[in-house]
Amino acid sequence: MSVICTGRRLMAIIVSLSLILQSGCGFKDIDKRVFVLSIGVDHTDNEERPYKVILKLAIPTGSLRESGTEFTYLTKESESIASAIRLLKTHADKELDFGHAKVIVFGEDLLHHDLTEIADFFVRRRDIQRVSWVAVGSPNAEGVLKTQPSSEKAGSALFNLFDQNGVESAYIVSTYLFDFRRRMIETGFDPILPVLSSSNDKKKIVVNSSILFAKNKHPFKLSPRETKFYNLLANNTQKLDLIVNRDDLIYTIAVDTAKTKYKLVTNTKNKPGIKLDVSVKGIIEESNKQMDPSQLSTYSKYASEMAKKEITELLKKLQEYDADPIGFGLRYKATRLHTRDTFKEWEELYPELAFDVNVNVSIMSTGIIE
Amino acid sequence: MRSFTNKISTSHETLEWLFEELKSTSDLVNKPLHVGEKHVELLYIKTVVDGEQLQQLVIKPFFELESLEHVEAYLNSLPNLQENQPREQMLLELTKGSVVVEVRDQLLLLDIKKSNTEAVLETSIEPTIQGPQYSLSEDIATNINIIRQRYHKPSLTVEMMELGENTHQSLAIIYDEELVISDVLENIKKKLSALNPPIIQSTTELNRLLNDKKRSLMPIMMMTERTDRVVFNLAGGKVVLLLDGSHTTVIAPVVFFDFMTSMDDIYGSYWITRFLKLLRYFGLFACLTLPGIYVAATSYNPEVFRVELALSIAGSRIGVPYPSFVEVLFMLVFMELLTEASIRLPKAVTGAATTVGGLILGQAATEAALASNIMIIIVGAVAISTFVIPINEMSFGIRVVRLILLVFASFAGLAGLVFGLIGFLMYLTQLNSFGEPYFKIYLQSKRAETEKTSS
Amino acid sequence: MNRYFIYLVFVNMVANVVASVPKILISQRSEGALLSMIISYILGLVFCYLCARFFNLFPGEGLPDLTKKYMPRWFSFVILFVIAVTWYIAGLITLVTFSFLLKRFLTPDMPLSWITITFLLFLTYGILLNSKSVLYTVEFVLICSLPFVFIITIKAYTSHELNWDFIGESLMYIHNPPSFTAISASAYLLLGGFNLIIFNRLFKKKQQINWKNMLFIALIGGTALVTTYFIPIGMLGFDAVGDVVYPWITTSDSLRLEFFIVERVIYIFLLLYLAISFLSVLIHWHVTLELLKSIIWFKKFQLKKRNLTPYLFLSFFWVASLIAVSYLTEYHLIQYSSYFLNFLLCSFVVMFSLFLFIKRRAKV
Repeated sequence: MSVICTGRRLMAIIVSLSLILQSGCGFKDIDKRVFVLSIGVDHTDNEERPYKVILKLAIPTGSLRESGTEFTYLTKESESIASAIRLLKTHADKELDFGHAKVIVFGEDLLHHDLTEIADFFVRRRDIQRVSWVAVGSPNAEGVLKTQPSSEKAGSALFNLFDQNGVESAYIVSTYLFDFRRRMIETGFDPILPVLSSSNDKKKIVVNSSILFAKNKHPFKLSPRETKFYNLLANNTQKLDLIVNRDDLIYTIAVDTAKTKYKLVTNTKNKPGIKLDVSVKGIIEESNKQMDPSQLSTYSKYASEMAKKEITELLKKLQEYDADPIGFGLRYKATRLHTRDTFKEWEELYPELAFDVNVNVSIMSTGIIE
Repeated sequence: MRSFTNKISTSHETLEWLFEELKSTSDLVNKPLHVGEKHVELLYIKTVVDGEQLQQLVIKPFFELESLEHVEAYLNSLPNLQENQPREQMLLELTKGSVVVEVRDQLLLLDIKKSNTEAVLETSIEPTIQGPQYSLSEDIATNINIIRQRYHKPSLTVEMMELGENTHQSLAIIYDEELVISDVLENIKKKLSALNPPIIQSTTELNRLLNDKKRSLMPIMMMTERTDRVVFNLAGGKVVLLLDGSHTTVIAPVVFFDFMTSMDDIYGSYWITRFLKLLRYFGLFACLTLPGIYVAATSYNPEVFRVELALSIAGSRIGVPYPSFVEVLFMLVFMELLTEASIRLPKAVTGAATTVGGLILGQAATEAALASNIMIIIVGAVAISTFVIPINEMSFGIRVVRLILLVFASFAGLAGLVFGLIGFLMYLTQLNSFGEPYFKIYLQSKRAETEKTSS
Repeated sequence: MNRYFIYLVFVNMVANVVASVPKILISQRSEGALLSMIISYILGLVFCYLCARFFNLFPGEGLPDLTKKYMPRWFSFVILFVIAVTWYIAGLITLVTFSFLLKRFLTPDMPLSWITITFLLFLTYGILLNSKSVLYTVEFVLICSLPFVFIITIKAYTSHELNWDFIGESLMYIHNPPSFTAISASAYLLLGGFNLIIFNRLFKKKQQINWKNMLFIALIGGTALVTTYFIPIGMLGFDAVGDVVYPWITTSDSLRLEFFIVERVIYIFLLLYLAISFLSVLIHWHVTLELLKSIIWFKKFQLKKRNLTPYLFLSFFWVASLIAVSYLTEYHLIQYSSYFLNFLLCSFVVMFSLFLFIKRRAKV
């Protein structure tokens, strides 16, 4: 016991000494830091300094509740993002802290160039969250970052759009940084990013389309409608609406639950194909005529046919473009015992695939009126 | 015949000796009673003897009874009679309130103590909602009486001993013979007999005196004033020490978790008490770590918590001139001062002190930008959580540990805080209370646990 | 079975993440990691069972006590010394890896040596405690941290972002022949029971080792192994996970607890593993110290009636760790850990022949 006693006393002395000596290392008060909330990267046409980095910084204010958060921006053009940030450090009187950078926006122009280096920067740095959202800014990142929606408060800067706790919408694709990276690297699984477009008066941000860039191909934009169906297929999105237009009757279905399953069929003698089952449950939200509850199954059928058409079109489009954001290729690799040629086989197979889409919409109710 | 004469001389000599010893005491009474053939001599100290009882028990019967033989027989039959004792002991008993009666050349020692401390006090240190509202008195006989009243079992043993070179306080060791862990009992007795402090005033002092380590932070005995806790612990096989003149008892051996139980935990219904327990442990955790977390979160890892929180801390720290740990230390020290002040002050002033200290200082400190708003919330939360710990001594210990953790957090952030917590844990696990492990999780029944690790 | 034994096994299972096990396994993902994991799982369980059975024959006696009784002195010295060094290195790997992790993720501005020294300070206090206190500490920390480990695991499995197709892809490599490196890396998970070589001193009563206990260990071990390997692949992608230096840290950063006080799992994870890897080093080095004390004891080496031999060993511990921390790079660390794990598995042949020999001699 006494051995421990001296040990402790000795230790206490060493601890206190070492602590006094080392003080100052890493100790930096919160008011000496400034938080970067979003990072934007644009492409300049300048060959020497191709990247323009925009940082959106939050300025803390004494009474957060009354005045909300104020923002300030730092911009710099440089040959690499890292050097731009090094230079930007000299523009702020406080240490830049990237720990809360939750949104990374790439300018649309940037997508036409090689993204590898940029993505690498964000992935390599330890202080950038792997769960930050990646998006594309249209027409450029700077415009998007500098937009301040009037509802933006308390540093929420764009987060709520992507966080499914905030806005729930089927038109928004949210892609985390780590998801973006794995899609960039993996074969048979292509990156897709949401497009943020700012209105001209810089008061509004719209996110309802998405952009897809298959490996080694030009980026390809999905319309809001296509984005919606992509979300249905890939993410089983639930806050979805289906608009059916048939013989003068127009009605909208609000989807409660949606489930997509698909299977690659390659062993049959027929043409290889993908069998895709989508089951959707929902209620009618809006209609231009009175709805007849006994006809619910008919309404469901119409909706199914409509959705089937849309989905098949989307899939065909993706196939034509040789893009694979849903990960059919990955599924192929995951269900075939690995050989050296697995992926090559798939690459040959994909353009040939036939889509067998089955949509089963079941409308549960006509809402609280008929 | 010879022995008889011898005895005469002895008894008389003893009386003389006693008289000589106490001569300088002004309240010493040496009163001969004399009527007819009957002659008795009384020697006592007036201020510690209950005069009325003396009158009833000794003086009145003396005049009523026929002969001296009757008187002697009568006195010998009194329950207050103490067995023959050496004269030094008699001297000591006299100071405690005994009366020496010389009757027929024989010295009888009668215990006719007057005690003004018999009143049973209300619980003031550990109040509970349910359970007995009265605690113990400051008189040992009353206390033993109270405990015996609540624990009717023949195996309840009360051993008496004396402590204190100058004060000769009586100390009772109370335990249930059937349940007590004999090693622990031996250990305690051995340590008690080795003790020889000049004065001992409070049972809590024993806590320090019986500890092997000179410098210790955590109490290894539990001080309590609650009789239900005493009984509960007796039934759990623990040893209770009672000191005359102190209205608290100490209980040994204890484990850390004993300090976190309130007696209400036994009285309430299952889920309520579970909830209260959980709350208490949460309070313990909060008051240990909150200051450290604040420093770590503001100065090392602001990215750990949500961005809104980071911004609002940053906002409320605008204009605060000192680094976060100075700010925390400053507020904590003032909080400790406030707590100390409200203990020491007379009850009437306490309210004013807390108002001035708590409200005005807190408000002014934020207004003057000496501390951030969030800091004030944290200090308040910490103070309140500290008061949740039911046993006072533990909460004193925790207050010190909190500062140590704060130091670690100030120098290594969250990592330092975790290291500090583990260090504190290791400190607790190596402690033992009279041979029983101090910090150990009891998952199985107590017997199984003690057997398992007996090594 | 004594619950303290199960804790010893647990610590290794959980702490493997900071012992480069996932990194090594993942680097072998297309070279037979899967089959190796299955093999080492069975092997590890058998080892664990045999070890528990063996020490159950000698309640209250550690390995040093046994070798002293049944072996020639010099042989006992050599073998215990080698075991002590092995255990030391096992702790050292965890220590260095975690120092790197802290430097990289939690306190990037603090010098590496300071981080290590902080670690060492607390470790020094810890390993000097008696074995009983060490076990109590282990128990309490585990009880506090296992719920969080559990929550993170559940969160990872139920995460929407966990792509099962990547896991499916990795399963498609099942036909690759197993590799020794992968076997030895994954066997590490189940070797925690061997800390009994010292801690058996505390288990004075004969334990009952029945199939229920073993099933429990097997279940937990299986879950740990599967989680260790598949979750990073499922989160980060089968190909992309290959160039991640700390697969599990990055994985934990890919998880979000939307409704918790701390939103980013990585910080909960780091603090949790700080505690768990501390335990791991604590246990390993405590065993080392006790082993060394049993073979080398300088009676005269005293100061104020206190024997300084343990402090001598500790100073060696300090020097070696500080040197290791300053000279190793992340890459070398993983490489050496892999060599060490290979060696560890081989050394168990010696360990078991030792057990057999002692058993024969003791005739029990």
